[in-house]
Amino acid sequence: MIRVLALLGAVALPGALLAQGIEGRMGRYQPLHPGLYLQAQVLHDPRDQSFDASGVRRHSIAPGSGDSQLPLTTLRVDFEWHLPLFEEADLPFFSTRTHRLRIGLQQGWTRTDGALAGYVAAEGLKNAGSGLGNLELAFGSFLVGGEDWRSRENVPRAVLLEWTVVLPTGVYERMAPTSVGDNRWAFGVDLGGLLRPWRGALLEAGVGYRRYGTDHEPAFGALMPADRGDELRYSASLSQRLHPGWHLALHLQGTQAGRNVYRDPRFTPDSPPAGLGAESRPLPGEYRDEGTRSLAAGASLYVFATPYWRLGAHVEQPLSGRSGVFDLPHVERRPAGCIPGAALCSERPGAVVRTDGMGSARQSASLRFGLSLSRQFGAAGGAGP
Amino acid sequence: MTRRLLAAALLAGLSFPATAGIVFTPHLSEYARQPRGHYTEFTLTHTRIEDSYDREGHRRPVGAPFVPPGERIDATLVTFKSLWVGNLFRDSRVPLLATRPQFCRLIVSASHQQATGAITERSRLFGLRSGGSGLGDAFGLCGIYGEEHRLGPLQFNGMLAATVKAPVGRWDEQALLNAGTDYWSVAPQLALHANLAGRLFVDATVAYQFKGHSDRPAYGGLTPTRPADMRNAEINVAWKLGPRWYVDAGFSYRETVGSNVFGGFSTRFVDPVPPEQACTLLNLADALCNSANLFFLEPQDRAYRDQGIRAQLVTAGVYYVYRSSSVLGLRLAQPVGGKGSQIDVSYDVHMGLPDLARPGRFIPGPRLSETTTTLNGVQESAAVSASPYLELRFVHLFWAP
Repeated sequence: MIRVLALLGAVALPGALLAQGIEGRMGRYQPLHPGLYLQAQVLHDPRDQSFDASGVRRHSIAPGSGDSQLPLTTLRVDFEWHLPLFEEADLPFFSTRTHRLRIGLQQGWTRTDGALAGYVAAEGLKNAGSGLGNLELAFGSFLVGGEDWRSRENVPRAVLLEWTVVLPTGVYERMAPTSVGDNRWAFGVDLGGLLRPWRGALLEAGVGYRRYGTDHEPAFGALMPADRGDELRYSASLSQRLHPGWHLALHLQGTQAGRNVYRDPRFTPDSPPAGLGAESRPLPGEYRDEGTRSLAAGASLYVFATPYWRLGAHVEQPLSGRSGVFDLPHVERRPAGCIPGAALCSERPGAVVRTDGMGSARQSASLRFGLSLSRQFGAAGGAGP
Repeated sequence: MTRRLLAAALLAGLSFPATAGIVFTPHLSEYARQPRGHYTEFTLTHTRIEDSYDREGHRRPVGAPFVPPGERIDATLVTFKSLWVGNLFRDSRVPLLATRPQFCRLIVSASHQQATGAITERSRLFGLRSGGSGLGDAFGLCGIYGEEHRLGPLQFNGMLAATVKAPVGRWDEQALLNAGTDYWSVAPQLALHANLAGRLFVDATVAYQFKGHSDRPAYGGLTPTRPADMRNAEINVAWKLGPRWYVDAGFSYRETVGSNVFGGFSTRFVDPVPPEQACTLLNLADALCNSANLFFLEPQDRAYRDQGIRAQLVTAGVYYVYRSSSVLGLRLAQPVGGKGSQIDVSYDVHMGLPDLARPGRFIPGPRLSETTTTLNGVQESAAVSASPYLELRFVHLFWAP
């Protein structure tokens, strides 16, 4: 039974990998028996709808460019170790409890469809950047619930403090509207806890904070943010055992992010029309949107095929959100294609266009779903007690 | 117990330069005979390259003289290594192999590399990009351990191995930095491990890298099409502080044998160059650079050779061994000398003439002159970083023998 509970705790919710970053996975704050836990997940977000800057649901991921879709499918494998550290050093607090070390690998497939794909093809840009995804490293300590790990049977309550680093090893195609990677480091801290309110139930809640590094070469004409706003994450979930080996989990999760910064955009699909023989170009400069937010609810069903193997099916529906949009002034250059500074090449102010930020600035409003498979290696691995 | 502890700490690795400025260097007991088993290793290495070596061996800001000082290249490399140790010939009578364990190892990597603003802007002038992320090349290595010898408190063994690098990594021909390398290599290696009284550990190796050709040079042909072979020599000395703690220090030397050949040089400005840039960027004489409204530069189609590269590196690190299954390590590497790749390239300078078919645009006109400039070779087989890097390493014994 301990093993079953341990495995249950290692479950990662599918959305954790999706662009929106779901935080509400079941068992995420549960201290487990020391050992190695492995998880594999396949997740799909059609990304054919989004919330605009006013929070209105639109039937396009980038409304300013016509109806467009940026579907994303990710395969993620997580290695998660639960282990005590520096036991013989007798470090106060640290040596007496278990800790969690996690390495997350990703592979992703994405593409550009619809009106945006037409623009990409016409301009000779790249459609998408698929391949290896970002790599996530996390280290956490169980402030409560990580003690007495040699003798404990169950953990009625726990609190986890976890530090996360995301390495931008993911493929980042600089000429495409969508990529698996996002070319910036991310640093995070999460604090959360769990309770067992009644038999077979697990109630969890937590908050997290993410800070992002700079993307010095933002993609798609610099419509991806150069600097991404800091992000606050929150989540709550309740899971219940329905039948031996069957568990149902419901969750609610949200994000609130600060203003994104866009630096020197070079083109945009919604450039204003220019006069005869002229062209419109974005005016170089630094622009900001009003930040992004999201709120989503989801459900997961878990089945334990054996005490070591567990299957999961997951679905999540965004409830509300807001994408990043900014006002981008243009200049009108005449004649089209001329080189500024050259004789006969003139520039004058053009129109200001409401422009969709891309990448992390888009908040998908599409129903997303996934499957997961988990395996516990704790007893067989060398790290067991 | 000690052997098992050490076993988890030791995963043989070659001294290949992997990505921008990062080199695989030996660790504690890297070449010791390991107990049979399956080991895994995760390594995270990060560097901020602010300085590099030129061909005279001088340390200078990265990108100089084309970008101002203060710019940098950030590079992060993660590697996953899987090592098998056993003896396939234990019950046979095959000479040498029946009594000596063999090992094979697979290394895959992923990396992120990104240059800061001025380097990125400079690249854009040529229609190029700065960064490259994604899956790196794959390394396969097999070898045999020598017999273990004892002389009083001294215990030592040899090791013979060969590594093949398959260029499966992501390769963007437009990128200044890439996760992959676009050429095969084979590297035989001879190594020695010695252990004095279970306290002092010495690991040393020499290797020679035979490199293949690259048919798709990157970054406007500033990566070699025929990278020069390379020889390496490395030594690492470790000291056991206690049952769980070790410290080490090492030295690494590598140099090319001959010159890198750049056979695909094609770096050219996307747009014609206005006079003020022609004077400053191209070092044209004032009279020449003011003689036309715009200039075109066409690289001359020929192969260039550098003077080879050289790098010397010192390392220092600390290890913590957890139970019999995991090792955490931290290492700092500091370049102490080197020589980078530079080539003198020639351009034909053409006057820019208005394109009558496309008003406001220009086409190359008559050739005005020839100009020569010195450019830096880039990426793993040409550039030599002068900046330190930090390595975090986690070794785990999945399945005990």
